[in-house]
Amino acid sequence: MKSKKYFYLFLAPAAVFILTFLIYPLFRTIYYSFTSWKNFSPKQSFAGLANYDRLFHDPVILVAFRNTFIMMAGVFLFQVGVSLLLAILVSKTKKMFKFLRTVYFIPILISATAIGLMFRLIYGYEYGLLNLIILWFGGEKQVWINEKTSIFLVTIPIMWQYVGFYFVIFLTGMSKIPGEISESAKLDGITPFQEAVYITIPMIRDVITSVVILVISGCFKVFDMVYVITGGGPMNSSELLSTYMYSAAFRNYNGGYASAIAIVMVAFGVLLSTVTRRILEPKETY
Amino acid sequence: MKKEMKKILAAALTCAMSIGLLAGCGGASDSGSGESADAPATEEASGQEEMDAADEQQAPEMSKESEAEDEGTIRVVTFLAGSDQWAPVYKEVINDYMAAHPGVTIVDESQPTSGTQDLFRTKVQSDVAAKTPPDLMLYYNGEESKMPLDSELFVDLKPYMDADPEWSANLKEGAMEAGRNEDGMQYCIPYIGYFEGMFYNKELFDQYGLEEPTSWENIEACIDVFVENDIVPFATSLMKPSYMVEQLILAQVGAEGQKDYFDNSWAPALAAMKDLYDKGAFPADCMTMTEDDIRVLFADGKAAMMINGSWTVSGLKDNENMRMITMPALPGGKGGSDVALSGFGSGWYMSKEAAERDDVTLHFLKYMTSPEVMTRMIAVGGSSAITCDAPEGASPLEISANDMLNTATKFVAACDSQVVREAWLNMTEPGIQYIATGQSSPEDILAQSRSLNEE
Amino acid sequence: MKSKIPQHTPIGWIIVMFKWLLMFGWAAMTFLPLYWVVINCFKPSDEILRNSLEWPASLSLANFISIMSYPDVNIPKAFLNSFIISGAVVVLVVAVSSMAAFALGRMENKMGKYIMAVLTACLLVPSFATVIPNFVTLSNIPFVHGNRIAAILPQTAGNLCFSIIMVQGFMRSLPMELDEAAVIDGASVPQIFTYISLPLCRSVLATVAIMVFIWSYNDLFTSLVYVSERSKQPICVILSMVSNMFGTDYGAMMAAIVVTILPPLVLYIFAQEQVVSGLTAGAVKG
Repeated sequence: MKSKKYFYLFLAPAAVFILTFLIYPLFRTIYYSFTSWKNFSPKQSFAGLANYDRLFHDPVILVAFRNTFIMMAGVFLFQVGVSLLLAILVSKTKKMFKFLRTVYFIPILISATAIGLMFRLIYGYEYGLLNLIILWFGGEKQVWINEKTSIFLVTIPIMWQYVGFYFVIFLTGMSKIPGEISESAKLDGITPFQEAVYITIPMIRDVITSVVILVISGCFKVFDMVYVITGGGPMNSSELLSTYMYSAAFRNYNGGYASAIAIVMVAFGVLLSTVTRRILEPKETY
Repeated sequence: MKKEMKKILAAALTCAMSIGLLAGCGGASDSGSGESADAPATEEASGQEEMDAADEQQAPEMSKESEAEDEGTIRVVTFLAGSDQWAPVYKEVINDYMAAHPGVTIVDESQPTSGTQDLFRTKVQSDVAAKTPPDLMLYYNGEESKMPLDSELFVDLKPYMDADPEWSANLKEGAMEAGRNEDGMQYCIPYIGYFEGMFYNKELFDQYGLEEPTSWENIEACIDVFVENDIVPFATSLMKPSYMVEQLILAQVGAEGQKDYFDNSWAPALAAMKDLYDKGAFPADCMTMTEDDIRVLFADGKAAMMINGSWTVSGLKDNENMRMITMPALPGGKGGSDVALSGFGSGWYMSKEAAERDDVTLHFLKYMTSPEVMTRMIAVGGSSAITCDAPEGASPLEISANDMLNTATKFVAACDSQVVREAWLNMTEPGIQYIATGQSSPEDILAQSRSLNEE
Repeated sequence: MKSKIPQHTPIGWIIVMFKWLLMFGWAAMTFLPLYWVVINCFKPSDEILRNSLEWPASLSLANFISIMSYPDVNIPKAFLNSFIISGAVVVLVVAVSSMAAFALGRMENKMGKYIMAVLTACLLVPSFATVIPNFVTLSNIPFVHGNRIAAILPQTAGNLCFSIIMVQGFMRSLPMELDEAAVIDGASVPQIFTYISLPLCRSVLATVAIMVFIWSYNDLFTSLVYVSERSKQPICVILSMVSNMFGTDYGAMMAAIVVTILPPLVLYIFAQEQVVSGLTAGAVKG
């Protein structure tokens, strides 16, 4: 369909919201990133590239980038993988369908802060669950979260919590695959595995693209879980761009530096998701 | 001066029971604060059942004197909300005021502080950024007063205090200093105070035949014994080592040296953290523990010492073996039991807009800072009045804390409220972790913090 | 075509076993946090830190009593506020995003690509980065400052990007022949949107609505900062009240989670029916 008038008319309400409450603050953030803005004072003084200069010399930023990539890799492999697998399995299940859908969704209903606390209590040294199990088997207590393990240990609950989310999205996507396709495939003697690879996955390609974009943005936004479990430590080893930005803004009251981190974060995320979209999206869109 | 500080600090002790202390309460309720026509605030207090006798006597005269009836709406923001100890009393106090002044509506927009996302600070920051400050707010002073001060949205309270001596006579000079800047501007009326020190579990020291940790040699001697016996010497989290670092700095450089922010003379104090870490004096998971974890560890008798503040006293006082002292001087250090760390961390700010509009907000501020209201706030946690001695039936912990404050001749406020927040946090969280593991030297971290502090 | 694996051979049996093991294993893992929250809501705070897994010593309701006794919190009123705020956000998001997704997913326009890139960028902006500029904006709009609308507007904007990306992905993958046939029959663009695209998108819109509801419902930070009066604040306020300057009452936190989680859980179970019926109603003939 081609209609300039309707295209813009249909986009107008969304544009009003997004321009006012997202784009405008984003531009404010760009402005703040060039200022020295401390203590949320109403006055900012122009500081040129000072914040960016600090950022490029800050070793923690590199750690945060590394960690964001580790988290993304884990999330891609595990979260998307498991949720797709579960969606394919459950969509073929008549019995228990509703029950499983409900149960898989539960972790999303519970706030990240509570789940973070739960995992902190699992990893804990003195009273932690893992150490209780080790003691029960007669082993020695371990310090689970250290400089090397921290990012992996905080990735586990993040991967785990949102499997249900992508599961529901995949299931929704599969709902539009006409039942006849699957039935005729069965008549052709195709195995369930072949059906998944050659029919289901290509049919929900658009959904997968959306999910990939959501995963990338999700990894940039992950915040409370890490903040609750490790606070970004030990020695900034589990810091993400989001936690580091939050600390800069709301713990250190350095709005200028926090804005610079936010800008780098958004710029990098846009780059990454554009590239991914290029790769995933078929050339002929229509 | 010294005597006055003593009074305030004795008051501070009472907050050991109430987890908090309100300025200017110390037995001042007999001075007839309410006699001023300007203080209609106190009149309704007579209706309060928990009022003490002295207040009941003066209440009738006061109500005669309050004439003009206030009318208007006051927006108040505090952190006395939710599970905060004072929140219920605070609410009562507000409701009483509204009952006594039907023309006045108090819109309480208090938000809880702390948690992963500090709603209270964000709320105040947004209000100030939008130039819609609350009429009255209870906010931090010291370094954090920069935000409200820079906004120029709040008034200097000094003229109001001068204009009403009856009211301001109850405000302790020593405490008021904490809400004053270099220009003598009284930007806030300090309200809630604290003290910090070293807690220890006497039972564990007795059990292993150790001397109590009143000197640094004793501390060093006990560490090895405790470590051998699977007792954590210091319940300290390196994720939030602020209180311990404060005490060590004081123990090393003393009250005067503490004002040389991030000077290299602080380095031995930071090096002591590394030394203790290397000796295994901290919990195995000290890198990721929270404040809540270390309090449980210490309360459970799994750790011998803990550096913390007055707010932890109420949770520990039922244990007969708990004691509190100032950290002894480090070898060659200038600190010790003559210095105590205590102060006032927050106070009332009044907005210009409210001050220019009418006297309604001022009257309410006077009510909130009246001895009667403070007495009620102080009563939270069991103690009903502020006296200079520990109240009867005080626990050994409270008595030791009182001794700590009585022995001290110099009182200093915590550094973290005096320096740029980013600089302090750079040194403590995560700076101490880098120092403890030998990845940075104390001098490097101090240099970083110095430059952040000077910016 | 390869021959299909017979159900009754040992290999087929193992595959079926594995499938059920995976589905129920995951269900058990997702059920864990709910179980954990429920057993811990009866324990005092330090008991949770010491041993969060054991069955509570007594079924004490002390935590529930303490969250009820927070001054100024009227729980039924807060629930009502939550439903007003989150309900309005869901309605706005579904309406606005389905229109925008229709334009982006089913209409050809050169700008589409760029708009998608902007939306992806906005997806990356963390909500705490926009809090202060948005607060300033809202306080300049008359009748909005401090009201429930002050939370509804930015939350709607914040959830729009996700919804548009989701719905447009779904719309794009619906067969284009549907619209073409309608155009030939003389249908206008709004008619195609209302009578063809929207009904077909029921399942994805239901999914989006559920997600947006949950996010809005749990969005403590923005709703509490934007809505200043306690009597207009949503129920998640009690989650923030369990922490104070000196620590967190974990017992009260668990009780608060139990109280806040019930409505979305019930809603999800109920709304699933919608998704399932959307599945059958939107019969797309392939």
